[in-house]
This record gives sequence, structure tokens and C-alpha cells, in this order.
Amino acid sequence: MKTLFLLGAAAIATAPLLREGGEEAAKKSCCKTTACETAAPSATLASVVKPATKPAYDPDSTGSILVTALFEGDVPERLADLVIDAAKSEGCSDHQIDRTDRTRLITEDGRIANVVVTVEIEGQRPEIPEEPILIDQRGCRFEPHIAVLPVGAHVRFANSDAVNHNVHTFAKRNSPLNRNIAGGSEEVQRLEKDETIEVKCDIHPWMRGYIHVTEAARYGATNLQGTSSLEGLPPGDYKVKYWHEELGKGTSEVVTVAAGAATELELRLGGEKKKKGRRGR
Amino acid sequence: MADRGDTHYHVPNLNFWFLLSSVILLVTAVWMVIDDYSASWKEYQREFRKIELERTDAELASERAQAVIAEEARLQAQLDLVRKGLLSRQGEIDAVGAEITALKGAVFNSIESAKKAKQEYNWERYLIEEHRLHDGDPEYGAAKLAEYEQRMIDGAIEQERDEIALGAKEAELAAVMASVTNAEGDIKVVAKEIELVRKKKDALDPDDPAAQIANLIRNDIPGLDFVGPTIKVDKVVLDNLTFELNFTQKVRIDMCQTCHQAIDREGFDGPEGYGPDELAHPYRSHPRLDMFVTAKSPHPMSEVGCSICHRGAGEALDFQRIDHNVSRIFEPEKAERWEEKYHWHKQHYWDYPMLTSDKVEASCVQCHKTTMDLIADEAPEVSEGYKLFERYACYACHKVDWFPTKRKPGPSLKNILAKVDEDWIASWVANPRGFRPTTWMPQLFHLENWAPEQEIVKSDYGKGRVILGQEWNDSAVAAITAFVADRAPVQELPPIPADGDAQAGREGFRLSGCLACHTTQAFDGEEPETKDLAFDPTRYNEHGPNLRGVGTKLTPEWLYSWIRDPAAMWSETRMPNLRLSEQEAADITAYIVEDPDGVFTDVPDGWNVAAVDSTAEVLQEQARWYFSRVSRDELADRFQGKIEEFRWDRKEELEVAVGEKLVQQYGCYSCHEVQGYENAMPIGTELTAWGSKTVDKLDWALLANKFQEHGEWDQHTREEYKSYRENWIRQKLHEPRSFDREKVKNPVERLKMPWFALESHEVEALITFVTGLVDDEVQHAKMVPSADQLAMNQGLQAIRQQNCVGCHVIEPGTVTFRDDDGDVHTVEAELLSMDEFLDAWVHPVPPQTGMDALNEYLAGYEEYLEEEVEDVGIRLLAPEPDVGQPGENVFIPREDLIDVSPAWGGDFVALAANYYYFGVEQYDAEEDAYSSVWGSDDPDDEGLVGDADGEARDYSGEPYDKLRWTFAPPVLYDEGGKLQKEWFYSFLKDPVPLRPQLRVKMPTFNYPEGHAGAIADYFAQQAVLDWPSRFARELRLSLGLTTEDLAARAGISPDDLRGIEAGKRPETEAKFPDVLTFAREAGFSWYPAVNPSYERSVRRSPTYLDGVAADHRDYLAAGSRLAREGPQCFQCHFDAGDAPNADPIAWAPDLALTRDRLREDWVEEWLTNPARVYPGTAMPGNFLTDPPQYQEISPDTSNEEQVDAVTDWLFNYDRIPPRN
Repeated sequence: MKTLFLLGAAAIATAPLLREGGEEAAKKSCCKTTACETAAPSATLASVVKPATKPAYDPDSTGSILVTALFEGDVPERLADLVIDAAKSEGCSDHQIDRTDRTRLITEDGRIANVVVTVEIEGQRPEIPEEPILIDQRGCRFEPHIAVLPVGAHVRFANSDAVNHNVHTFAKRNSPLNRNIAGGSEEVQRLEKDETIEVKCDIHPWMRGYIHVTEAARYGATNLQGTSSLEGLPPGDYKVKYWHEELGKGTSEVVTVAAGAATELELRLGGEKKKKGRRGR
Repeated sequence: MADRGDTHYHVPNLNFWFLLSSVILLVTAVWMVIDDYSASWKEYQREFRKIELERTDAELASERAQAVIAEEARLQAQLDLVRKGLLSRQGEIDAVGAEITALKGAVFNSIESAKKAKQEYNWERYLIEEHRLHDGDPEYGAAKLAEYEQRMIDGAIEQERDEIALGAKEAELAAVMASVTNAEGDIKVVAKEIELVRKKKDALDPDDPAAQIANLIRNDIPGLDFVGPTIKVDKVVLDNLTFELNFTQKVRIDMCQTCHQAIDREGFDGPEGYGPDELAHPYRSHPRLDMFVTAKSPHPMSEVGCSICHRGAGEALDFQRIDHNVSRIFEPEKAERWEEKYHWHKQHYWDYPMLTSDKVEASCVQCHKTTMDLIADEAPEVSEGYKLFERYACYACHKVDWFPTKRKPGPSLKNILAKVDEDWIASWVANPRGFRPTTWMPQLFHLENWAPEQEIVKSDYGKGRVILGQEWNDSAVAAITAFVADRAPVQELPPIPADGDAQAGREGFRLSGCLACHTTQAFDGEEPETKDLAFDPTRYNEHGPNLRGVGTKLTPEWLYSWIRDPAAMWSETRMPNLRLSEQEAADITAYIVEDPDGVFTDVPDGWNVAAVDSTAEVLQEQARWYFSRVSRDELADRFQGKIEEFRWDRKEELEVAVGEKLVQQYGCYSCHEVQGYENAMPIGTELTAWGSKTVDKLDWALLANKFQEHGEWDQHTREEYKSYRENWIRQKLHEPRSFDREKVKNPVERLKMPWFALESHEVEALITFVTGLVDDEVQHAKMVPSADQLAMNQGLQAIRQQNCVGCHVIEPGTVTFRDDDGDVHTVEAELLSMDEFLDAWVHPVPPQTGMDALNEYLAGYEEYLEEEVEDVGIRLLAPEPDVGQPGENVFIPREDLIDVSPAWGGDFVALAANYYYFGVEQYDAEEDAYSSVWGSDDPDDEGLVGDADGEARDYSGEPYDKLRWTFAPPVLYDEGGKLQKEWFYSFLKDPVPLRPQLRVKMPTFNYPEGHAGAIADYFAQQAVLDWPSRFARELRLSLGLTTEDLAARAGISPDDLRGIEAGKRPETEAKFPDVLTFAREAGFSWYPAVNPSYERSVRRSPTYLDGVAADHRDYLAAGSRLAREGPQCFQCHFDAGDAPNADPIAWAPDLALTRDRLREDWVEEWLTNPARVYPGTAMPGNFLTDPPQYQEISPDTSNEEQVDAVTDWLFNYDRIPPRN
């Protein structure tokens, strides 16, 4: 039985069983925000997989960190929608094609979606989900855009479109994969090393997704509201690591977690860009 | 004896003389013996015996040997115990022994009686049968015969019984003794390892006192050591390799090994305890035993000897007389040591001293003239010399009869005025390096023998004024310019038909491939502000001239015409035709002329284009010298314009006349096409046999003497300097006019060799090559290269000269590292990009040019990203047993990384990918900021690159690897295994667009005769050579065996297997058949080797097609349907010219070309797993899932069957209606 969880109001689970309901939920929650009115994503933008035992965390003995990712400085304009030629997306049309450019999803008040957040607990390894994590190719997009999963988990690449896709992962520490996946077929791969992997379909160049493989015990990605909750943390001091495909990566200040409480943490990304240095060869 | 008085001589006197002469004779004899005994070579041999003895002792004392000895002792003790045990049973053994003796006697008797019975039977049978024949009674004597037969059978039975009894007894004894024999056998097996060492030790230093005495007498007693000498002259007689000595051909005899005892033996190169100091020459091994000396090397000593390569007097046995040689420049300490130890000096009675160790490669030339490119890896120094000789076109002035390149290296001057103006020509001729410091054009004027202030002559036959060097040269330059202009009437070029856009031209310049052969690096030597690869001379982009500043030089019309069709402007140019459209060529022209990036108008400080003025008076004086056969009066008439056909009263005409003479003198036409001088002879000394020229034939002039006079050199230094031909040519190349120093010469006889501004290493390489140009002394032993070798050599030469490697990676680079077990691997691999997600201005791919560059990059990366780099990732590009399959990534901790070496070729790949990824980096000095610019100066167009379908798209966010595989020229790994040779040849001759998404096109080359065929041959031949190595690796990977295991099972040594896997020829030739046999028995199959002379497409043959049709009707149509509907090949691939329905970044080659273009084996391998063939390719694995896909299209088919069906269809593409 898949036990994939939704995180945040707008994030939608990818488990097929929950897909219909998830989309409903997304639409509902989405419309509360101003950004969503324009972005109005019809499909999954972020997905995080939680261990099967959730919610096993004892709410009295553990605490949580509620992360909010905020843009530092003037919020940039929304990126233009992807230009997808109708002829070149033939076969994707069974599903509504989402043209949102997911590289940079930031609300007008600066909340950043799709920021991967991870926190390590000393002496704890992440639990490995029993079922492979699904990355579907629907409407010629990777769903979800970014999958966060623990080291040792399996990923299942599927294709819900009528047209062929090739899943081309630009993995380095894990084995790189480049497979043609016909509609209805799938391919499963175990990811054994922590790294962020870009996933492309060479046939449909606009298709791009990420797999973030982590060794951290707790992980998540911010939803469209720019928040993510890292739960089940024993009381203590933690540092949250974050990663965003465009705005870079970093580590937060020390956060103290108390039992039974949610500590809030604001991450500020993308402010002053690092001074462009001389390009090494 | 008393004096009898009847002799005319005085006996006591005679006795005295007799005594005296006896004493003298005795002393002489003793002296002779002592002298002979103490001959230096004997000392060396005695010393070498000591070394050997020490080594055997050390070997026996080694841990391993000690372990063996201990084990042996243990077994011995066991044996003794067993023997002791047997003693108690001695009675029993003796009894059995006695029984055996008795039985042996019985066996002997029974054998004898059986023999006798047989003979009797045979005799009786003969008699009886004779009788039967004559009597006709077939029953005669039957009973008698039966009786004899029975006797014979009884005898045989008795013999067998006795033998069995004996065997049983012997077995009984053997069983008793077995424990002893087994133990003895064990000892032998254990001791086998050190047996050889022991034997050697025994020969050198025997335990047996008698042998000791014999050794002592033979080796150590003066005068007796002739008895059975172990110390003796080792020589090799080479009947074929004669050399000329005093006008006779003499057989070459080399005695070098007499002193260099260990030269053919491995291991005398200073292992533990024998460092270079302890084990100096002559006791060392040859440093390249794999190449030289040993019997299995390509140059065995028994066939080529020593002096054929090293020179020197091979027959001498004395250090001096051999004419040993050492370079004072490169090994000064050794030279001093030699002087001290051997009183080393030049042996004056020998013309060909040994080559110093830095020049020994010179000898390769005498046999390898036709394979100079092929030996480049093994003989780098002489190869560099050979290539420089070609690049600087020494051959154009100095004839070398066999030199393969003949073309004129400089551009044609026939339409020069359409390209540049006269002032530019004059400024260039006066000082080419002033405009382009890296040019290959040498400087001809203003050199030391025409120093500006030097008085050259007095004008008007010595009656006029003094003319100085400056004036003389200026007038000469002006005259040459006038003559060149006179012979190049301007042929108007058509106007540029399109308006060029400089911004679009930047993109065209970057993506058309210009930078594969040209750099735009600034000359001032300062670090450029931006790290633009275009500014960097890497390895192959200095093939053409540096383009810095050319915008100031060229006319736009000429530039346009040149870019469009170079060969039309200069028939021998190597610049290929890029098949640019009018608009593209106009854009690039505009980019260079308008120069928005400040590159093409940037000229070195001090470069100033100005007319060079001549002076009538100087020109007249020059005319007097150059026209010295014309009488004084006539010359005067010409100057005054009195002779109609030679009116020289106008300066212009006088300039042209003098200019022609100067062009003749300096041989400009040797390098440039000059009208009227197309077939003129070269002007320099022929160098075909320069290395055989004796030093006394070289004009040393006054240089060395002057050094001595000025007190800088002593007599000895001067003499030594003039004894070695290398010194002469070194001086000539560094300061070509210096042999005129201190000489009084008239202006037409002064030295004219130009100055090439060669760097020291270039000079040394050229010396090596030219020293190797010797008389053909080795006619009989001359290497006769095989047709394959010749083809490969020609191919390599063509690849170099056409600069294929500017764009294409032909062979991958390697990475050397230590694995977890401490084993060192050198694998074909490329470094992985580091981090592609960050907008960091760090080039994603670390440099693979060496550890220094890599470490520098990593340090910068760490500093910029503030994170430690612990390991470096590599991607394997070839199957590597014990490491992994091609396409697998391996991360190596930095401390385990030993070396990285670059791929062969492909510098343009990074340039093209960089443009898509970064654009062109620009530096704003005011803001101190860097930015990127692409083919437009509109900020909204940032990142946009023109695509092949006419759209502009932004690819800067794509993974760098993807850009590299999609938009850069393809790699050519194993191209011979991939392409059908015939198609390859026709493609080289007349390229068709294969990868339509590429902006850089395969150009149409202006090949000299044979180059296209040679390139195709080279790749096919290389595939044949690589195949055994590949096969062995695949075999070992597939069986999962270690080197040792596979070698043992195939019945070869692990070293041989390593040699085969590393592609070494001797091992492959000798042992690969064993590997093949083993593989066949083990049931391993792999794609067969390429057949470079003839290959056919089996899948197209009627027999094959009938066979598959018998199993499946409409087989090919089914294959077509599978391809179209299963993996949907035409989503990306072109279909007989029709573009796929995708963006150009997804485009792939036309499948209709497959059957003519690709080899079947390769296609099958490729379809099976593309990432294994080209790690990183965008082509997905279409037939790799488990369970297999596409079952609704081709039910119940496996992945292999699907691959097979699609391959069959591809090779019969024309037989299936193209559209279903």
C-alpha cells in the first residue's frame, strides 16, 4: 500500500490513488493565494515522500521545524510560460499541458516553492519507503517536478502519455539512466548515493525535473506557500540545509527544537547573488 | 761453454745480449699479461660479476626467498623423519628388495622362453604352410601347429604372471617408500621458485672447492684466464648493416655488450639497494627493453646491434675510442664526471661520435622515413623535429628528397593586392613579428649581418658615399614590395552580396568552427580579463594563424571571398570550405571588420603600417651588385634612361628590377606562389644527408676562434665546440647570420638564412631531426613497413595536416588512479562535470590536461563555492575489467588520483558547448563585472542561440553534458568499427549533413591527393588493431575473472594478458590466438573484427533474407512497424530527409543513411545499449527494460529479437515502403 503524503496546502501527492483528490485539494487551497491565481498549476509541483510509519512521531517527545523560504530583495517577475509547439507535443494531449515554468515559483510576497529542505538527526538514517517513489510523465511534464527521497529508495519512472518519453537522468554518483519509456511502461531504479539529479526527456526538451536524494533523516520541499514542516525531531539543536534549482544551496542558522513544539525558521534565498568570479577552466 | 775461437762472435757478449733480450721478453710478456688482465672491459666484467653475486645473495636473502628456504628446510626435516622411520623397517624393505630381484630374474627367464616359443611357432608355421602350398593338403601338420601354438600361448601367460607378481612387489615397495618420494617431490616444487637464482649463484660462486679453483683460474689468474674464459668479448656481427670506412663498405661489429653486460636483462635499473649511484652505467639495463635489444622487441640486438642507433665506434673496447658522448648543455654534471673519471674528450679519428642521450632519437629517421607519424608516441623528440620541419617549411628551401610534404606553405601572392595594400606588405616583410608575434613567416631583414649602423658598401663602385645597413635593408624591402605588387595585378573581387550583421557574425564565428584552427589570443602575454577559450591557444587551434588584429589588415571583400571559398583564393590552402551561406559569410566578415569585441583591431604595441622608402642611390648601388654581369657603362645608361627596354631612371622601375633579384636571392617563391616563379628551384643547401656530413665540411667561420681570441673560451673548448655538428646547427638556428660575424663580405654573398625566432626546445627538436638525415647506410636492413603501417602513417599525417583533431575527439583521455586495494589502473575516461545546477561561473568540466591544471581548477572551485572537493568523478569510456563498464561513473578520492591525460583532439567541443552554456564572456572594467553576450546586443535576447530550424532558443539552462553531445562535433571513438569504409571515404570527399542540428558543419576539405582515403584507412586499421584488446577486456568482464585467473585458464602469462589488454603488439601477436581459442571453448562471443579490405552487409543478402522470411512473413515490414511505433525512432531521427517533429536539440541522423553508412555489428551493439558505446549520448536505451516493451506491437519478442528485427529493417530500409 502506498503511503505517500501531501505536504502543505498546495502540494499534491503523486500516488495514483490519491491523484484525483489531490488535484481537488490543490485547486481549493491554491486559490487562497494571489500567486496561484496567475500560476494556477493544474498538476503536482512538489512532492515529498514520508516514511511508511508516519505519523509515528510521538507529538509529545518530538518537535518540528516549520520552514518558510522567502526571497531576499525585490521579488522577480514571474517567468513566462513555456512555449510548447502544439505539433511537437503531439501525444501529450491526453492530459492538459501545464505550461508553467517551474524553475522559479515565487509568490508576490516572496514565498518560494520547491526549495528542498533537509535536516540530519545524529545517529538516525532516513527510513526507506517500501514502495518505489513515482515520477510520472504526464502531459509531457515530469510529475512531480522535484522528488525528494532518501538514499536507498527506489524511483519508478512511468509514462502516462500516449507518446514515448525517454527518461535521461544526469546522475553522477548514482548510475546515469537513459531509457525510452513507451506509454504505459515503466522503469525502476534504486538510488544509492546522495546527490541532486537533473532529469530530462530528450524528445521534449522543455521537460525537466529533479530528484534530490538525501541521507538526512527528515526532508521535505516547500509548497507553493513556501513552507515545509520537518517533523519528528527529538529536542535539540539543528541546522537545516536547503537547495533550490536556481537560487542555490545553503545551510541555516542553528534552530533549537523543543518537544511538542513547532519552531519556525525563515530561510532567505537569492538575495545578493554571489559576486561573479572569474570562471576557472 | 768455452770459447773455441772458431766463431766470429764473442760468446760472453752474446750471452749478455741473450740474457738481456730474455729479460726484456720476459718483462714484455709479463707486461702483456698484466695489461691484458687489466683491460678496462675485463675490469667491468669482474665488477659486474660482483654485482650479480650481490644481487643473487640479496635475492636469496629476500623475505620471499627466505620463506621458501624455510619451507624447504621444514620439508627436509619432515623427510629426514620419514627416512628415520623407514630405517626401523629396513629388514622388511630388504626382504621385499630381495624378492623383487628374484622376481626380476624370473621375469627375464619367462620373457626369454616366451620369445623362444614364439620363434619356434613361427618357424614351424612357415614350414607347414610351405608344405601345404606344394602338396595342396590344407590339413597337413594341423596337430603339430596347434601344439606349438599352445606352447607359445603358455609362454606368454607365464610371462604375464611373472610380470604381475613383479609389479605387485614393486608397488608394495613403492607404497613403503611413497612418503619419501612425495616429500622429495614437495621440496622440489617449493624450491623451484629459487632454483634459478641458486643455479646462477652456483655458477658465480660455487660451493664445490674444485669448481671454485676452476673459476679462480679462469677468471682471476693473469695469463691463465685464457683457458676457458668466462670473461670475454661479447659481440654481435651485422653483415647487412655495413658502413663506409675509408671508401670501403665494412661489416658492422658491435662489442658494446662486453662492458654493458646487463643491457639486455631486466631489473638492472636500480631497485632497492641499487640506486642510480650504486648501479651506474655500464651495469644498467637498457631503459626501453620493450622496444629495443631483447629478442621479442621490434629492434633485437642480434639484428640491429647498438651503433646503428647510438653511433660511435662499435668495435672499440675502450671508453675513449668508442667516442662516447655527453651533452654539455643538458648533462653538464655528467660531462664533468666523465672528464674526471675517463678523461673524456672527442675522439678525433672517428667522424660519427655517439649521439648524446637527448639526440639519440635522430637515428629513428634512417629507417622510419615512411612512418614518421606512426612512431610519434615512441619517439617524441624527433617527431616534434619532423613536424616543425614541416610547419616552418624548412623543406621549401632545403631539399630533403624523401620528405613527404611538398606544398608551398605561405599564401599565394598572385592576388595579394586584393587582400592587403602595399604599405602593409612592406611593413610585414620588414618585420612580420611586429604584426603577429607567433607567425611562422621568418624575419629576413634587419638582422645582425645588416646591422643598421653597419657600413655595407661605398656607392658608385667605391667612389661614392657610405651606405649603411638600415638604408640598404629599407630599399631592399621597398624593392621586394614593388616587385610583388608588380607581379600581382589587382583582380577586382565581387562586392559582398549581403549586409553583414556583426552580432550575428559573432555567433557564426563561434559556431562555424573557426576556433577549431584559429585562436584570437592577445600577443602581449598578459592574462586576458576573461577566461574565454577563444583567447587561449590550446593544443590544436594554432593550426591556422592567430586572428588577432586581422581586421586591420584585410579588405572586407577579400575576407568575404576567402571565407566563402578559400581554395578559390589559394589553391594549396588547408583552410576548408565551410559551406557558409552568403549571409553567414557576410555576417562573419562584418564581425571581423566591425569588431565589436575589440579582438580583430587589436595589434601589438609598436606595429605601424607605413610605407618603407627606398633611396635611388641605394637602389642603384644594389643594381650594381645584383646586375654585376652588366657592364658599368650599360648600367649607367640604364640609370639615365638611355636604354629603352631598361629605363631605370624612374625609381619605380628600378625597384621592380632590384626587387626581382632580391626575391631570387631570398627565395620568397619557395614558400609563396609568385607569378613567373612557380617552378623555381629551392635556394637552400640540400639536407638529405646532412647528418652524414663530416664536421670539417661545415663552415664554422670565425665565431669560435673569436670567442677564443676574446678570452672567453680556451683552446680545448674551441676545439670541442667545432667537433660536434650539433653545435653548428644549433648556432645556425638560433642566430642564422652569426657565422658572418667578424667577416668582410660583399652584400650579395652574405648569409641569407632567415630568423625563425625558434624556442630552445624547438631548436633541439629540429637538430635531432636534421642530425638523423644520414646517408642510407642501412639499405639491407631498412624497415619495410607493411601496407597497414603505411596506411596508418598516411592517415595520421592527413589527420594532423587537416587538423581533424581540432573538432573531433579521436581517442579518449586517460585517468590513472589507485583503487581500494592499492592496485593502479589507467583507464580511458573523462572527468565528470562538477556542478551544473548553480549559476556559478565555474566551468563545469575540470581540465584533463594534467594534475597541475586539475588541482588549480579544484582549488579555485573550492575557494569559490566554499566547499571541499573530496573526490573527483570520472566516466569510463572503455570496458575496464576490475573497474567497470563504459558509461559507469567512478568517484576517486583525490589522494588516490595519480594522473589525468587529455583526449586526443576535440578542443572545439568545449568551445561550442561553452557558447550555448555561457555565451561569450565580457569584462566591464568600469564596473569590474563580467557578463555574457550571445549573437545579439539586446539584453532581452540573452542566452538565445540561432538554431538550425531558423528559430532562436535559450539553451543556457540545459545540462552541460547534453549540450556537448548535441551541439558539438561528434566524437570519433572506434569510428572504424562504426562506419563502412567506402561511405566514410565518400563522406570525407563530399560531406552530407548528418547531424542537422549542428551549427558547425563538417567542412569540405581541400585534400591533397590521397588524404581522404588515408583517413578512412586509418580508422579502419585502428579498429582492427584495437579489436584484440577490446575482445580480451570484454571476455574478462563477461567472465568476471581476474587477470591471473583468465591468463591461467587461457594458458598464457598474466603479463601477456596485460599486454594484450593494453593493446601491445608483441603480446597480441604471440598470445592472442590462445585467448581466442579459450574464448571459443568458453562459449564467449563478441562482434568480429573489422575487415578493412572488404566487408559486406550480411543482412541485405538474399540468403539471409530468405532465412528470416521463412520464419516470419513480412518480417521487414514488422521491423519497420516496431521501429516506428515501438521506440518511435522518427520522433528524433530524420526519415529520408524529412525532419522529425521535435526541436533541433532532439534531432538525430537520418536513418535512411544507415545501410550505406554504418557497420551492422556496430548498429546492433548501439541499439542494444547506446550508453555503453557513447557514454553520455542522448540516444536512450530502447530495448533494455525487463520485461521487454512493445509487446502489443511485436508480441512475445525479447529485447534481442527486437534489436535484431530493427537492425534488419535498417539495413533494408530501401526495400520497405517508407510510409506505412
